[in-house]
Order: sequence, then structure tokens, then C-alpha cells
Amino acid sequence: MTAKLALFGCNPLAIEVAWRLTLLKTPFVMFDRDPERVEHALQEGLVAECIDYTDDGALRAAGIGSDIGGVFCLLTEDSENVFLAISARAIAPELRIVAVCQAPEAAPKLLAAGADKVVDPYEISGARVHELIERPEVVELMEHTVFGLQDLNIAEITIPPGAWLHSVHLSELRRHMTQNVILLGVVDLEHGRDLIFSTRGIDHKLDHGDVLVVIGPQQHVAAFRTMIESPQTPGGAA
Amino acid sequence: MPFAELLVRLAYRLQASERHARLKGFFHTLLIDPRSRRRRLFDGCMIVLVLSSVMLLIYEVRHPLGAWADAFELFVVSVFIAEYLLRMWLFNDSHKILIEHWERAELLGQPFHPAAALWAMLKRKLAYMSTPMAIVDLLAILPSYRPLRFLRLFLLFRLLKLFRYTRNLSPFGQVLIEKRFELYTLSIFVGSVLLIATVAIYLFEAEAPDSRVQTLMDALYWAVITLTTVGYGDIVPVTTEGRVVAMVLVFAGIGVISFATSIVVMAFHEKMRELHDHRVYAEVDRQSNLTIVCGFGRIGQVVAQRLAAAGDPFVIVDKDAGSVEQARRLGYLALAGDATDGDLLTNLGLGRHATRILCLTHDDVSNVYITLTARQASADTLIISRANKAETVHKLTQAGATHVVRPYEVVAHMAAEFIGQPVAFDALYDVVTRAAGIHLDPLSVRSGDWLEKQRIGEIDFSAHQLQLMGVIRPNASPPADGHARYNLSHRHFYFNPGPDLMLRGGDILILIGYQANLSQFRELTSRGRRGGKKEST
Repeated sequence: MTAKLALFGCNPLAIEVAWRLTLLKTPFVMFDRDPERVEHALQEGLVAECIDYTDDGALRAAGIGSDIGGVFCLLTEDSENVFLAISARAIAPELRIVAVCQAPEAAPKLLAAGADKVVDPYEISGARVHELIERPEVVELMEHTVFGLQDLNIAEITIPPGAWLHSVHLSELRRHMTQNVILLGVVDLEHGRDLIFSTRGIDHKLDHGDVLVVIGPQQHVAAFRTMIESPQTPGGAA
Repeated sequence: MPFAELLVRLAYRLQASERHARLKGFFHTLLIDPRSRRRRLFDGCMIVLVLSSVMLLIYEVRHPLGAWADAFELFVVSVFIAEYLLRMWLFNDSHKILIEHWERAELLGQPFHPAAALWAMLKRKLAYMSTPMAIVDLLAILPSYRPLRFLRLFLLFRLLKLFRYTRNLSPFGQVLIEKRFELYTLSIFVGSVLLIATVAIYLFEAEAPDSRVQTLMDALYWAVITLTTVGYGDIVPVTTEGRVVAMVLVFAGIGVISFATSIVVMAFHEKMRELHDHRVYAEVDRQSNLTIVCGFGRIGQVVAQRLAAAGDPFVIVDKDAGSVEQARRLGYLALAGDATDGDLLTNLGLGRHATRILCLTHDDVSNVYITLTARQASADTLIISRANKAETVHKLTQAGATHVVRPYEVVAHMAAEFIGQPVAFDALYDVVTRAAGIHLDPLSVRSGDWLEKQRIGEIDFSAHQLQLMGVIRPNASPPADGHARYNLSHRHFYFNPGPDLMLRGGDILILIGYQANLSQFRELTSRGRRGGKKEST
């Protein structure tokens, strides 16, 4: 991802997201209407600007529709986020938009307004707390590996046009998988846009445009990606 | 002096006696400890005994019963007497008073007066005997003394004894005690009105020809019946003056009745919350492995919903009465109160049947305080705390939190993931929130299980539509080479281990799959069947 991201809202949540993005070395810029909050973000050493996001002109000037590739709607009010999502979607139909919601009722509204994904912080945190009671091992595992800084990543690989995997069955692909990765699931466009977990045991016929989701160490994921994206069938591997 | 010496030696022997302490402990759990199961059983037996003896005594008034009824009454009374004496014994430790007196005398070099010590012991026991419940207990024994017929009236005290055994009734008594000042004022007012009315009606009516007020007793009876607005009409004033007294008395009566009603209603209204709390405490007492959820904000709601779905017992504590009301409407056990209050947490059984506490309030300061209070109350409680600011995490850990959850951090992780790879994010979101029914579940390998000593390649996970993500192994176990290994605290995680990794007791398999498949596999392994084994290997 080289396109810049825009974070709207300079509240504690946005600052947390900003730190995460800094860690991932993703370029981003923060926006807020309130100069005080912008000042606070600047003091934290983050790139922040004061703009009025209710003004489409200001949004365009900020780079939406040009060099901004994704938008985070992290404002404190659900209504503000809905407004921002609608405005941003109207300017740039291809934009990737993530929004947080305060009340669960706001989630469908945000989706209708054009957000690609709505994250409910409380739902996730509540789930996390319950998981800590029921399955502390799993939470610890996720925290140390997938969410943490150890080399275990979750990645998605889209099958490009012209790849050898076109019209190949999943079982065939499995025969060629020598890398230490787990295939978590597949988005098979013939079955819709939802991820179908591998545990369902369906032997999908893969086509270009389908997406594979894998977990594994960085190096193995990269090797797997190379194999998927290559036009030739991996020779002799079994 | 030998008598005094004997006494002191006896006291010290009691002090040192383990049997004495054990015996006292046993009767304490039987008669007094509000949380013991034994006491509940004892209370139930006593209620049956009281009711049956009262019914028998009432029946006996008109129908003479045989010797077995006398025997039963004798039995009941012996139980009552034994109970009375036991309670008196449990009330305090008399030997400690004696020892205290002796030691003080020794310390100051003064002569020891056994009489003074005995008097102090007696005073304590008398103090017990003068408590209302002890008086009731004593009076409940009396009705069986036949020669004095009026003692039968004390039968009622046997019923009053029921207060002792049913905890739900005691708050009603407390209401009356708490409002004693108001009730006292009211009774003085009622007393003076009655006195005036009685004397007035007697003065006006006693001499009148057709009057039915003949004596002062008649006058008092009429005044009481009129003041309470009952008005039987058997005695009515006939003189004009008497009727004026009646009219005034009727208005006074309305005032008295409304005043009395308002006192009682208000007292109960104030007591309602406490009554409800009592019910929550009683309910909580019956649970084991209870979770205390402090704060019923959005996170608290999600957790409560999940706990309820999993069938785990929990109780909610929140300062805000509105949140508590909302929780109650959802059918959850909830209590309005400040969770930073140590007594409240103790009452909820923290460290006993409450084994987990979740500090989920909006306020980091409160969360730290609750965490600290909970950790002090019990060393092995699971404490999960919410930190809204990054710098609080450290403080919470220091205060004793087992786990700290930062809502913003989790969201930041997820949101950052989404921008780069939306599909992977969805997978992660589904797994983390269990939204799509897909679970990431641990399965422990116990020593002696059929899973133990199996190689990964020998277990057919796909036949159960499961995927093995990896194996968690304690650090103490010798490491396995040739597998991708990650460090957790005190444990290692082997990601996607090869088919030749042999499982050991204490390992935890991390499986991905749907709930039904996971439960099926879990059941198979727990039954010790080799259901998951590959046929062909």
C-alpha cells in the first residue's frame, strides 16, 4: 500500500490507529475540525491538519479523490461519521472507507452511507474480554503472533489474470503447497464475495479474481504469493 | 485462690483446645453463618418444627390429643431450649473475658478477682439475653408450660421465631426499627388524641339517658374504633357535644391513618433498593464460579450478553441507576453501587464463589482502584481490566490485573489490517468476534488421552472439518526442532507443525472450525475413542 490514508478525528482512538500505521510504515495524515485536538495530535508527533470535513471542497483539497487511498472515519459521533462517509464516497467511488460506530444501530447506516467496513470497538473489546475468560490461550496467541510483532501474518492473495491457478481446483493447489502456510479460506467469486473458510471442506474451482487468505511466517507467505501469481504451474513439486 | 486458679486454667485450656474451636465452628456454621448450606437446612427444619408445633397447640385447644402430642411438644421444647443455650454460648467467648481479666491483673501486679471476671462474663450473656430475638426465643419456649393457661398467648412468639429462619422477613422488621422516631411521634399523638377523646366522650355521654357509654373502657373502645376509621356503630354518641367530639375525632383519624400509611410506604420505598440488593446477594450466594462485571457500558453489555449466552453466572455492578435498570430489564442480576467499595465486593463473594472480576468502567481511575481492591481481597481471582489510555496498562498490571484490554488498541489493529487486506481482515474479524460461527478453539491434551503420543500426521482433522493452526507447548517441555516456533509468555507456539510432531500431555491444540465440529471432536477425544485417527496410516 503506497497510497496515503486519511484519518478523520484526532481523538485517542485515532491516535492509537495512527501509531499502529506508523508501526506498519503506512503513510497517513490526520484531520479534525477542532484546532485543539489537531494541536494535541501534532504534539504527539503526528501529521495532522485542521479542516472542515463537512465541506466537499476541503475534502478534495485534502486529497480525497486524488492521492488518498483510504479513509478512516474515527469521529466520536455516529452522525458525523455517516456524513463523512457519504461525502467521501460521493467524491471518490473507489475509495476504501472504514468507520467506527458507537451504537450498534449506526452500523447499517454507515454501510448504507458508503463505508466498506464498520468496526464496533465495544463489540470487539467485549468479545476480547469474554475470550480472555473462556480461551485465554487463544487471545494470548493472537496477541503475540498475528496482532503482535512476531513473524506470523495473515495475508490475502488475489489470483491475478493469467496465473496458472485459473480453472484449477483447490485440491490441486494443495498438492503444490510446500510452504509453511495455512490456507484459512477462499473468496470464490462463483459463490459470492464472502470468505468461505477452508474447514467447510469445499473443493473450489479457482479463477482469477478469487482471493486466498493464508496465515504464515512472512517469508513463506511471500513464497506462496510468488507461486500463486506465477503464470507457470510449479514444476515437479508435490 | 485455688478456685480462681482452677478457673483460669480451665479458660486457658479452652483457649488452646482445638476440639472446642472445631465444635464452636460447627455450631456457628449450623446456626449463624448466613452463607452455609447447613444453616439453610437447619432453618428449614426449624420452620417445619415451629409451624407443626403451633398447629398442634391450636388444634389441642378444642380436641384433646394423646400422649404422643405431649411427647412431640417435649421434643420441640427441648430443641428450642438447646438452640437457645447454643446461641447464648456462640454469642461470645467467655473464657477470653476471664483470661483478659487475669492477664490484666498479672500485668498490673494486682490481685485477680474471679467474681469480677464472672460478673463481666454474665453481663455479656445478659446482653445477649436482652436482644429482641433472644427474648422471642425464650418466650417461644413458654407456651408448653401447661399450668398457666395465659402462657398460651406466647404461642405467637413461636411464630415470631420464624423471623429468625426466613431472611426475607427480616427487612420488614428493620423498616419498623428504622422508622421508630416517626412511629414514636405518631404514637404520642395518637395516645394524646385518644386520651382527650376518651375523657371528653365519657364526660359528655356517661350521664346521658340513652347513652351506651357506661364506663371509661366503653369510652376508650369507642374512641379507638372511631379514630381508626373502623366505626362499628355499636356505640354511638347521642348528645350534641358527644357528636362534636366524634366529628373532630373522625378528622383526626383520617390524619393519623394517612400519616401512618405515609411513614410505612416511605420506609418501604427507601428500603426497596436494599430489599432488591438483598435478593441479589441471596441469588449470588447460590452461584459458584461467579463473574462480577463492574460497569454496564457498551463493553459491559457485550460481555454480559456473551456470558449469558454461554450460561455463565454473573452479576453487574454499576454506579448509574439507569444502567442497572436496563440490565435488570434484560433479566440480568444487577446491583447499583460503587464497585470501588470493598464491602460490596466482599458481599458479592469475591474470593469465595466469585472467581472473576471484570473492571470495565469508562474511568481508568476507577478501574485501577477496583483492580487493587479485588487483588487485595483475593490473590487468585482472575481480574480483567479495561485501560482507556495506554499509560494505564502498566498501572493496572501493577495493581494486580491478570489481563488488560485496551479497546482502542484492538480497533487500531483491526482497522489498520483492513486497509491493506480487507478479506483477511474479515477473516480475522469473524474469528475474533465469532461472528460467522467460525471459532478458534483450544483443545488440551491430557495425560492418558488417546491424543497423547499421537503424531500430528496420524490425526485426521479434515475428516472433522477442522484445521490445526498449531500447538501450544509449555516451556518446561523439551522443545521440538524443525517446526516454526513462536514465543508466548511461559509457552511456545508451534505454527502448523509437520506430521511427525508427537503430542504430549499438557499440549494445547489450536483448532479452527465450526462450533458443531469442534464440540464433536472434543467429545470424541474426551471419550477416549480413536475416532479422529486416520484409517489408512
